[in-house]
Amino acid sequence: MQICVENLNKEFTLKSGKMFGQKTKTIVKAVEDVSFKVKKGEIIAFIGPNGAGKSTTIKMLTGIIRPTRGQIRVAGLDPTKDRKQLAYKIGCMFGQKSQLYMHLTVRDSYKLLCSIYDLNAKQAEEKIEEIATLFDIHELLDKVVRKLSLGQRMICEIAGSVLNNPEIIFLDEPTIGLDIFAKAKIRDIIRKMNEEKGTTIFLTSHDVGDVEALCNRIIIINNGTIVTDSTIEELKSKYLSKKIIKISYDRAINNKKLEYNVQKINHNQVELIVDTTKTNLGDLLSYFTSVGNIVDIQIESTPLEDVIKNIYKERR
Amino acid sequence: MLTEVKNNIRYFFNAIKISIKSAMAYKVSFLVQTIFMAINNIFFLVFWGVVFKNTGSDSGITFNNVLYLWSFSTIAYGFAYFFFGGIQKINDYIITGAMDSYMLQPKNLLLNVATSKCNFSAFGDLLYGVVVAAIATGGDIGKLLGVILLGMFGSIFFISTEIMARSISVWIGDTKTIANRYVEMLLITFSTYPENIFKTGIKVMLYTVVPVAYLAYIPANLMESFNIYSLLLIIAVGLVYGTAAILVFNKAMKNYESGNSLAMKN
Repeated sequence: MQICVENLNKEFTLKSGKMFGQKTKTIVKAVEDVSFKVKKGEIIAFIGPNGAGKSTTIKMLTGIIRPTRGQIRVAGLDPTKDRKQLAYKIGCMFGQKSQLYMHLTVRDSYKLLCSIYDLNAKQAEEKIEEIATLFDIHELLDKVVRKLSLGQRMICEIAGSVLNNPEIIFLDEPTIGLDIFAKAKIRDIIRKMNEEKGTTIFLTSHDVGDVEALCNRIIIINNGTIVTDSTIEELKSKYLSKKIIKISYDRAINNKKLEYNVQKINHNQVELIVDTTKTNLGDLLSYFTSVGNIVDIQIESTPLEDVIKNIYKERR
Repeated sequence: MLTEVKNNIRYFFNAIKISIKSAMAYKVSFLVQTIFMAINNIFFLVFWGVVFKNTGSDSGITFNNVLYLWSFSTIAYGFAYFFFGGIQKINDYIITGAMDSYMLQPKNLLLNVATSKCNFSAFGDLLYGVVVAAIATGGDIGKLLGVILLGMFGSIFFISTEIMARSISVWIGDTKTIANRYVEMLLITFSTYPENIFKTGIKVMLYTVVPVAYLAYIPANLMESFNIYSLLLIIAVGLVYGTAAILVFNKAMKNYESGNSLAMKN
């Protein structure tokens, strides 16, 4: 097992009260009795709404913060005791935090990162060349980091996180704020790293698209506890196969009686929920094309919050 | 062990090189900061020169003694903040969660953080200190080297104070103001005035909680009459301060709780 977590707990103490008055302490349980295992080469999605405990868990797995209770082994090491040794074996990319230097070129940032991983100048040059080829970023190497677009910076960040040939990569929101093209490129890169190097990928994302495109297993966490741990196929067939489709017409269609699971008709827009495992999408499109002149179609996945709500409902 | 030391030294020089390169992205700003810091310091010495010219040195304080104080304090300050400017960021890294990036790297955390930034104006202090030391030693190369080495060792007091004052942000919130005032008003101010002008109470403070005596007074006296015990005392107190700083930092990091602010290295 590459990651082994048993009964992991993290509590934070919040103090409140007047500056010189009596203080009250409140214990907040950020992570509560979380247990899971990850095999080598798995791409696992660790998802949940804001404040669910995702980042706190990743920070404990990488040795940034210490658990209150519980056991963690990552690549055979205890992150709390062996933080430095572990850093040689893992790569991390936190979408909200940069490891590149904004006043330097990407190449210089990588050189410094290489020296952090004890590579000499020649080894660093070779490594940078290898990574630039793998990620197709030769043209970005001599650009100053602050002048990169968000998508380019994210790709360079991920490339920077694999300079040490990590066994496991932790990616926290790698596609946050990116357009569809940049998202697609980052997903390709992640898949490539997994296929070519057998790297274990531990991914958190709010984007269900990332999860569907990349992961073979999904763990959903909410309020600090694991809600579900299943394969992506299981989850897809149960919850992620439902899509919200919004079809806009060139004129109002309020007075029409429509087939399928239509939820709302708002002037010229129809909103319906479709289970893609049960509905023939070709028939559906033909039907709605016959209703009127379509000017726009939007397809959205079920929001994560709804998936979690449904899981809770089923358990009751 | 030896390989780790070698790797840390290589990393240290790379980090400094990168920091300077980063500064060179804003060459004009770097030069202006350096020059103005040196000019700022020159005015203080001009002021002392005028005082001695008009009042003489009846109090036992000589202009050369003042030159030594300035060279020790500015070399110590310049060395500390130019090479280890990241120490002034510890509180920021703790409060914003930017410490995470450094914790994910397989290097000594304190060294990594300390070398993460250069304070460019400190280069002006460093240069100025060496020039003033050259004047004070009257061209005696051996003495000049002594001032530079002892000045560099004195940086341990600035570095340790910064580390301790800023690491406690983990427990009491952002200590930026406390750390800045402590260093500016106590360490810097007291280290540039001769010891003799202070009364006993203040002197006790300057030999204990505000370690000015070991970074400026005793070294300045050593230059005028060498005493091996004084030298050993400076080294011993420096090591105690350094060790205390490392212990406080490590303890703070055990209690570090990270954060989720957006952060970018620069």
